[in-house]
Amino acid sequence: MASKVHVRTQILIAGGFILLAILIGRLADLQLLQHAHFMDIAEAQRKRAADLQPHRGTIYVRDGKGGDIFPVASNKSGWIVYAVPRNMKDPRSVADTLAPALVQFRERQDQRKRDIIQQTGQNDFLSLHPSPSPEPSESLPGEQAGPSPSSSPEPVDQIIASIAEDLFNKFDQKQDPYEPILRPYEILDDDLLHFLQEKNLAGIVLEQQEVRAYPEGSLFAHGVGYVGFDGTARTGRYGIEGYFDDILKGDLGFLSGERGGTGKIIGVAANEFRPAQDGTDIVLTIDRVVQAFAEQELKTGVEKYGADRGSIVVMNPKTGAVVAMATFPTFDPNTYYAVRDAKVQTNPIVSDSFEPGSILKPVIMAGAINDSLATPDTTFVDNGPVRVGKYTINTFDGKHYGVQTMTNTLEQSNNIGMVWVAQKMGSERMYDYLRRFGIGERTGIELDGETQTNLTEPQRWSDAQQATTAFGQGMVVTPIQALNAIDVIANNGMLMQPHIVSSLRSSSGDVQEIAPTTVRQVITQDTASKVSAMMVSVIENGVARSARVPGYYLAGKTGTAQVADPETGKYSTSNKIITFAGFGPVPDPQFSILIKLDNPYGLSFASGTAAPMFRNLAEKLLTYYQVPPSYDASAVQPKFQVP
Amino acid sequence: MKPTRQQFVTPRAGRSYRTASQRGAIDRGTATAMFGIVAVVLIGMFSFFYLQQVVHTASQGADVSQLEAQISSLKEQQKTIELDGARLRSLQTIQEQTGSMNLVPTDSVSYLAPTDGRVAVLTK
Repeated sequence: MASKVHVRTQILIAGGFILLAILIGRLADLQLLQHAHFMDIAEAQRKRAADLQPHRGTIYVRDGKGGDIFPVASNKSGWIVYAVPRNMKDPRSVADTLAPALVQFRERQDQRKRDIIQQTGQNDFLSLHPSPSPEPSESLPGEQAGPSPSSSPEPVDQIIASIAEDLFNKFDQKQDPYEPILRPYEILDDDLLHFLQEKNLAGIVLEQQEVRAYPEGSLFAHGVGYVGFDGTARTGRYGIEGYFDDILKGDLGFLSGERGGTGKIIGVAANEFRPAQDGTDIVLTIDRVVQAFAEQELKTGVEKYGADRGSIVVMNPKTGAVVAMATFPTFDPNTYYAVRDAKVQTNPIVSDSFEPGSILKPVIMAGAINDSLATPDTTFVDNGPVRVGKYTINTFDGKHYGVQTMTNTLEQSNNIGMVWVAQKMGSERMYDYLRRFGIGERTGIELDGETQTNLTEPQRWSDAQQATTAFGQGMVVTPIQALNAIDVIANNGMLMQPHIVSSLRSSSGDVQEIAPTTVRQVITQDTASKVSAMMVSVIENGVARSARVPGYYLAGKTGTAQVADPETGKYSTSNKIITFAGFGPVPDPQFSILIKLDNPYGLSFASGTAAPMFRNLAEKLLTYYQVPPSYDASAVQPKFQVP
Repeated sequence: MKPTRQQFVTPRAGRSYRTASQRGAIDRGTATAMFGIVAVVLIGMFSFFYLQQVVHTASQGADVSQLEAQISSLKEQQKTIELDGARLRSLQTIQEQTGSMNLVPTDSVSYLAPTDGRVAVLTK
């Protein structure tokens, strides 16, 4: 009996030891062999890491009178929506619920786009540049050109059914963690946002994101640019947004730490924190009042004269600061995708090259006077058209006035007089002066997309090219190059670096002021003074009388240049570019203006189109800058003479 | 040999022997035990204090997170207000609002030339 009890006890003890051994073995397996696996699970539960998004820098313009600055590009919160199909229990139901709201959203978006295209003058632009595709990179990956409610002749029910089917195909993927619903650049409007918040659909996620906002709308649109998408990454395009994208976007930060049961970061646990570096703010030299003047005048002029497109640049000739820069038709950076042709977003003032025509004559004349090859009173005889090589060169109006001074040559925009000057100067000297005036090189202005123009080496100039270059044909410039060259005459012979940035303000508070930069002395002060007076005579006594503002001496030059037909390689008989370049008031210029109209209707010349626009804008600027008149406009004035 | 003089010292003989601890003195064992107890108590107190600090800091971390969330929310509100302000001050808004004020454009500006050093000045 005693031995039986003893055996059972031993069996029990042995069993206990076996159980204990199993438990110890299991513990060893969990804690030693699978240690790394469970550590990973625990860390995944506790640890969180995320990039911290910086705020994009703000872009400001000034108010010249008050000194205040106003944002033209800032940030705001917007709502986006996306789907998480793996969280959907009933993707069909979600798709059917979402489809009608999405169709209505698209209708509202389409109407908004049409309104903006109308307001920004793009309808007329479209008729001349029929290329209806928006930027393809802004579409959803794999997105097909689906039916749009407002453009499609299909009944709305069919459109809704089609969209519901597309959505169902996206949502019916059990393991899919993400599907976009809208295009990358689209944010929810109030109606769709409230609908989604009310419905609270499973698998549909609403998220707030920082998006770009342009509170001044289309004001200075071409200069500001916009923030678009390169894939899924936001990137600045054109203008200041493109040129300064690196400093505007700032630097990502980083945060990793351990979270407690409530999801909050545990302060005493190990964590890594690197704050995000917000982008740099940029203050521009643009005066928003002058910008508004320029845009208003430009819109009126383009519509009145039936031009394809128009541009106005206003600069401070003493500092090289760009005070206004306008192009029409324009676009609204808030809805940058509301364009019929992406070309409307390019800034022609820095990116389009054109043959300047007669506005280049003062530049060539300045070179001749500077080298004592001519004076304002030097004469030549205009007896009729002249033959240069195999070409015949005539005046723009076919009229000839016999003995003419150099001043008369500019007053009447006489091509034959300029050929005479070119023959005096020779190709080498002309080329040299053009390069010194900044022609044939980028100005370096802080805007994306500036074109590099080329100036043919003088050794390769024919006699005809030498002659035509003297009146601005056979060579190309950009509008900013052209006005910057004219500003040499306004600025006592000094070439300034054009700039559009006034200061940079980092997120840490450092302010970097951008001072005006002198590039070089191109002509003497005396030469500049003489040519200025000759350009005043163009307005007072010459073909640009319509640019005159009574009481003030303004200097200017008209330009009407033919445009080469890219298909034939010859000059078009119908297309032309009309320009006017001027500054004032002389002798202390406060502003310089270039006006350019592409292909205005009919047999129009600058004297009847761009010159009156210059006068209108100059009048506003003279009042805005509170410049008192140089003489009593009501009194009879003697004829202006070049001193 | 028996002492002849009367002694006032209690003879050892016949008297029970008591140890120092029996007489009330602290012996080594007691001292060790007491030291151990004090050490445990002190360690316990410091541990308690340390844990309290940790918990306090952790809870402050939660408060800091709340305050940071508040700051972030206020910054968002500030940005929204700034943007609304920018829109209200935009030229487009000004043009729209002044349209209803029936303002007339200036058609001519006269500049006054002070003579004889006399000029009327308006000061704010």
